This record gives sequence, structure tokens and C-alpha cells, in this order.
Amino acid sequence: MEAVLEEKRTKSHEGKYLTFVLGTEEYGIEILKVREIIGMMDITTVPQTPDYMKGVINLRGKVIPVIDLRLKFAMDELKHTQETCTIVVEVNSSLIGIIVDTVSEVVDIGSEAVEDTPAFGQGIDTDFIIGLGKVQEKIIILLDIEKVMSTEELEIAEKMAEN
Amino acid sequence: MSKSNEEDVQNTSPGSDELTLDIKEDSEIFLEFLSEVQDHLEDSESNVLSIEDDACDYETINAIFRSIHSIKGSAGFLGLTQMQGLSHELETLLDKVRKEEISMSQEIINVSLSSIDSLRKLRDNLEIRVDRELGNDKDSDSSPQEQPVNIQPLIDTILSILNNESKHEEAVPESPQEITDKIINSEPEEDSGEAVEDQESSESDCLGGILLDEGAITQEQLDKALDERGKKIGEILVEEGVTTAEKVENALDEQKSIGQILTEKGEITESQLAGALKQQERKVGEILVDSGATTTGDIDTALESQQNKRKTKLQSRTVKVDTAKLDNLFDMVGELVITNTMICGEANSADNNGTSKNLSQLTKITKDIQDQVMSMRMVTLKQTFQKMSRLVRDVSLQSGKKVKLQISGEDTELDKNVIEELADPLVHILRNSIDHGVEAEEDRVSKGKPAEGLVKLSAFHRGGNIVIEIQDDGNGIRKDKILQKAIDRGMVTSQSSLTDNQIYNLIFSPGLSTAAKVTNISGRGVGMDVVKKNIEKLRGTVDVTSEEGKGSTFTIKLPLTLAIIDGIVVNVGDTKYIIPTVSIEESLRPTKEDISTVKNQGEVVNIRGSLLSLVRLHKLYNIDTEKTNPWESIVVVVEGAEGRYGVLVDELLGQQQVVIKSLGDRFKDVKGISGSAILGDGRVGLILDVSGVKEAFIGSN
Repeated sequence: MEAVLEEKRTKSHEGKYLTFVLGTEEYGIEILKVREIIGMMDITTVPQTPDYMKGVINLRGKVIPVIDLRLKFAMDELKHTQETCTIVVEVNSSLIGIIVDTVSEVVDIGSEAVEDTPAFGQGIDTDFIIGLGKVQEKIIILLDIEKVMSTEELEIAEKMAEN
Repeated sequence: MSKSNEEDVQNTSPGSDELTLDIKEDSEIFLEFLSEVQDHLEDSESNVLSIEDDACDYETINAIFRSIHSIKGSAGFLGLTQMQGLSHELETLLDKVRKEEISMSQEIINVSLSSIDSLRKLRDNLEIRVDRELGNDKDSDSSPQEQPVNIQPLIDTILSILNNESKHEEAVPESPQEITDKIINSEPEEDSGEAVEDQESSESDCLGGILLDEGAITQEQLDKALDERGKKIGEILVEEGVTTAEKVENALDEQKSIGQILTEKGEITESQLAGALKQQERKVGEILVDSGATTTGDIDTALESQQNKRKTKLQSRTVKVDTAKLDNLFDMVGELVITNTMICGEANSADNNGTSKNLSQLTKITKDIQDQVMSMRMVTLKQTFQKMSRLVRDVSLQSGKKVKLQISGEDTELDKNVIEELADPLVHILRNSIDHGVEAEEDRVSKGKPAEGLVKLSAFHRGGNIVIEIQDDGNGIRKDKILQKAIDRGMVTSQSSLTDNQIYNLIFSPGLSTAAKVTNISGRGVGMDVVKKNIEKLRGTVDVTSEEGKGSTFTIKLPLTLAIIDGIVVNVGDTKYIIPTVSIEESLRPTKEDISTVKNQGEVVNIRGSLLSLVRLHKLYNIDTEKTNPWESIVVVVEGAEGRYGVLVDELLGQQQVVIKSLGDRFKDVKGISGSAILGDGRVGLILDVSGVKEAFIGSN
């Protein structure tokens, strides 16, 4: 049973990834999860939410939340530039926007090119990382976007509880 | 429940069905099956109820038969053996009735309704299972659990009707509730007097009821006829002295069809005659004419109204559309409107005559499309009201009171979402009306009221709103009792002078029930406050008036749609908020002297003598703004659940009708924000929930 699960996990690692840059690091999201990439839009702040939850935008008549991945990963906030993008992903059948520094490319990553996430010791949560992909000497951190979002929901709940 | 019963129930739990298809792989088939079965069951239920009322004809029985047959077919295909088994038995029974091998009886109606209930439970269980398999239930704790359904007692009942038809007079008719109890508890049968009573009361809804309504015959005449329905109709008429034996014989000669039935079946039983007469209502009419109890004209009008009632049951032609698709279309059209407005703004400044003419045409078309899409979300109250007639039937059986439900305006249209949320409050109010409002039969008679209670359920438009009224002719609300109870519980002081209306509306406060005893229907003092909360959630209001001894009227006022509200757009810093116009009382700029602080923390604003607490929105929501002095900004006086208070905002930007968009689960716990809307400039504005803002304010201090 475990072997089957293991196989399934390794198998799901290969595929096409959309890569983007945050600071000096390069990340990847499974392309099937990505709906579209849009430029920065006017964001309406929603009160009583964590910093990285930037607010909501109007995506052609749908109101969707956007989060700043820099803040989410505890990096410094950057002033938005021409290259700053919002990647709209579908998580648990709802849409959510993710603000990233810049979108780079779509890469094919074979299962042999994916390495398991090494342990970084306590305090560094690697739960939402599928693994590290190696593409032409570059390391791409492959994100499990659903996990990233599910921890965010918990944090919002905690924040509410504090209020 | 004994242990063996528990095991019994578990053995037949829905999980035991081996599905032939995988839910995940063929989810569409399952979803379609669920919605199909839902429709069939609703149709069947309303058809069965209509048989009970007056329209026992071949077409109606055939329609039920077809629905149940379809359920059986699909259930068999999917391997839902329980559903298939029960619908098979029911189908066999209906087939016999259809072919007139068995006559329709109250017992058959009861068992059909109970079977429909059980099929619905089985369907709900499948739905829960499908939801779980598809992972729609993220929160496994709060998700509904499958309820075990034991169909065996029902099947037994059906089989006994089938096998035992000739002796079925001896079998005690059961009320659906009792049958359902039995299904769950498998308790031994008990004798039921109520059900027999019900059998009679429902009969009076037939032709006799219509004749009675029109005053063609008296209640006495009808009652006697109904009481002695078991005897041959001729005998009754002779006994009553309305006619002579000779005349009856003449009438019987004319009544060829009854004669035929009699010959075909040989020796007749009482129930067979009753059933046969029911199928031959027209003949009953003729006999009544012959006996001089009524005239041909009366019969004709009565039959006409009977026909009309049947006609209205024809279904309208519809196409089923997924609500998600509709919502999408709705969003797109909303965007179209916004883009249209923006282009119009630019074109106007460009001052081009031809373009602006075309643009105004486009604006008009866009507006029309928007209205059209809006109207697609509207559905009639018919289904909801039909459910209520079933409810009234069951509750009146349970409480042993005869109650008639009169429905009007079921074609009134409301937003689909509103209708879905409306059923629960209606159930509560109707239960209360029957349980507490309508008196027991003997009390009613002693007061000179008709023995049968009357509850009117009506819906109509009034001033841009939909009004739903529930009116009973019962005892009314006892003011003194309510007031005393409220004083006992410290809700009001004995000195406070309340108007009658205020006293009546106290029944919506939590924990207040004036029912002397708690029954299993109602009386625990929860319910009415929930009713009020639910209605307010729909941005409606509920109100009650009453006259002691004469009855009470509940009035529910609802907006036409949940999707659009009138709001005032305000801004705080560079964030825009929308405050629903209904909750705004006034807005003003106070003077410096109007503002005072309490303990240097809480602020109050003096508005023409009344002191209201002041909520600074920028402080509450941490928004940067330059206007921090109330005398430089605007105080909007709003009315929330906890009373009036002032909200401090920077500016009022204007009034606008906005389309409400949900913020989704992610923000569902944000206090004070009930949703969002896309403003004229394409940006998102947040809609304030004034009760929530106050809660958040109290919480933050």
C-alpha cells in the first residue's frame, strides 16, 4: 500500500511547471493549477486579515482574493514594478491570485529531476514543497499550491480568533 | 431502540449497497441521478397529495407510476438495491391501482407518501455519500451523516395491501408519521384512531367540500353522508329522508358504471364501494341532484372548479440550467454593463454624435440583457408551498387537529437563493400556527368557529417587495401572557409601556414560548427567534399581528432578489465601502460639541438629544486616513440588531444599486463585512454588515 502511495507521489512530480521568481529564488507551480496570468490590478483591502492577504480584485466580474507570496514566505515586501504579476490559480475549485516578482517560463520536469526536499531543521516548514527540481543547473522549488493555501486559511482563522 | 433493532437498521444502511459504478469516475451520472430522483419525488408527492385532495384520476396515478418507474430503472442501473426494491413494490401497487384492480384508499395514499419519504432519505444518503467521495465536504465534522433507512416495514405494508386487498378494511390505516416511526423503530403496530379521522377530513376536500364552499349543501348533510360513507349511498339518502327508496333505485339504474363494477367484483365490500364511488365522483353528483340536495347548476360549477384545479397542475416547459452557469452569465453581463458605462464616459467627452447615439442603443440592450439574466434566477414559490401543504397535513395528523391550508399566489416569483432559505422559517411559523394557534376541535366548536381550522398561506407583491402572509383563524396571541413571560425573564420591565405590536413581536425573542405544554412539534421557545434571524439574513423583515380569539397573521417581507441591494458608497482613506440603504437612518456632520468621550475611550455622539456610540471605521479596520476628526468627516447613523449607533466615515460618495458578490469561504469570518460588489469604476467595494461592525467594535474594545 505504502509503495503504491510512494509511486503515486513520485509520479505526480513530473510534468509541466510554470516558474516564477521571488527575490533570488525560483519557484514552480503545476501548470494544470494555473488559470491565467494577469498584470497588477487595483486591490481592495479586506480588514482583519493577515498582511500577506492583500485583498480582493475584480477578475472579469468575479471577486477573487489575492495574496502576496513574498509576505507569505516572510520576505520583505517589494514595490510593485512593471514585471510584477498576479498568477491566478485554482485551488479546491476556487480561484485565488498570487502576486510574484516576475513570471519566467514553463518547464518540463521529469521525475528523475525532482529531489525530495531536504530537512532544514526546526522552524522551517517544508510541507508545501513537493520537491526541488533541477533544470539546467538551476534549482526550482516546486510548490504544492493547495497546501500553501490551506495553511493560509488556518492563519486567517487564528487571526480572527485573536480579534 | 433495542439492540437487535439497531443491528437490523445497520444491516440495511445505505453503505451496504454495492454501486455498479465508481462515484468519482462517473460523478456526472450520479449527480444527474440525484437531481432526477429529486424531481420525480417532488412530482410524485404533489400528485399523491392532489389525489388526497380531489383529483383521483387515471392521469395522476399514471404520472406517479411513471415517476416511480423511472426511479426504479435508474436505481437498478446504479446498483442501489434498496431504492430499487422499494420503488419496485410501490410501482407494483400503483400499477394495480392504475389498472383498477385495487381501488385507491387512504391506506394506499399513506403508504405512498411514506415510501416517497423513505426514497427521499435514501436519495439524501446517496447525496451525502457522493459529496464525501467527491471531496466536497472539507469539514467532515459538520457534514451531515447518513441516516439509516429500513425499508422492510414499508415493503411489508405494501405487500399486505397487495395480498390482502379484499380484507384490507381490517388493516388499520396508518398515518405517515406512524409508518415512519415504525421504519425507524420497528415498533409493534398500534391502533390508530387519528388516521381514521384523517381519512374523513380529507374526503371532505372532494366534491362535497366544493359543494359546501358554494353553500349548495350544508355541513350537516355532508358530514352525515361522510360518516356513513361505508353504507351504500342509497341507504344513507333514504335514512336521511332526503329521498325515497324508489328514487334511489332509479338513480342506481342510471348509475351504470357502478353497476358494472359491482357485477365484475361480485360481492362488494364497503371499502370497495367507497373506492368505486371516489372514482365516480360525477355519479355522486348526479345522485345528489336526484335526491334534491343540490341542483345541476351547482354540480356543474363545482365540476368546473375541479377541472380548473386539475388544469393548473400542468407543468410549464423548462430547460434545466446549472446555477453555476447562470451565475457566470450574470457576472459577464455585470462586466458588460461596467465596460459599457466606462466607454460611454469616454465617448461623451469625445463629443461624437453618431457614436453616442449608437452607444445609448448599446446601453439599452445591455440593460435589457441584464434584466433578462436577472429574471432567470427567479423561480416560483410553487414547490415551496407544495412542501408546506404536505407539512400541514402531517402536523395536523400529529396534533389531532383538523386544519385546512389555503394557498394563494404560489406563482409569485422570487430569487432562487431566497426561496431556498425560506422553507425553514415557513415550516416554523406554520407549525406554530397549527400547534399553538388553532384550538382543539371541541374548543373551536364551543366558540362557534368551524370545527376545521383554517390556515392561509399567501404570497404577493407589494411596493417592490414580496410579501408572504401566514394567517390562522386560531386563538391568537395572548398579550398578557407574553408580556408576563417577558417580564419574568427580564426582557422588559413591568413599567415600560409597549404598544400591542411591540408586545406581539416579543415572540421573536429567544427563549420565549407561551405554549402551556411542550409538544414534539413546538413549544420549546426556540424557533421564532431563528425565524427572525433567517429572514433578516435574507434582508427581509417579519412581523406579527394578532387578535385574541380570532387568530394571528405573520407577515414576511422579502426583497425581490438577494443579488442586488441599494447601497450608499462611502470611503475611508482610499477604501470604498457600501452601506446597505435599508440600515441607514441618516447621515450628518456633527459639531465638535456633539462628540464626548466616556473614560477617554468610548465615544458618543449627541444627535438631537439621543446619545449614540460612535464607531470609527478607520480605527476599527486600521485604515490610514487624514480625516480623523468627526467634525470634519461624516457620521452615518445606522440601525443594527443591537440598536442604533454612528459609523464614522470620510465621505459619502453616492447611492448605487450594486450586485452582491460573495467573498467566498476564505473571508466568511471577517466581522462586519457581508460581501462585496463591483463598483462603477470596476474596483471591488466591500459591503458593510452593520450588526457585524458593532460586534467587531465591541470585540475590539
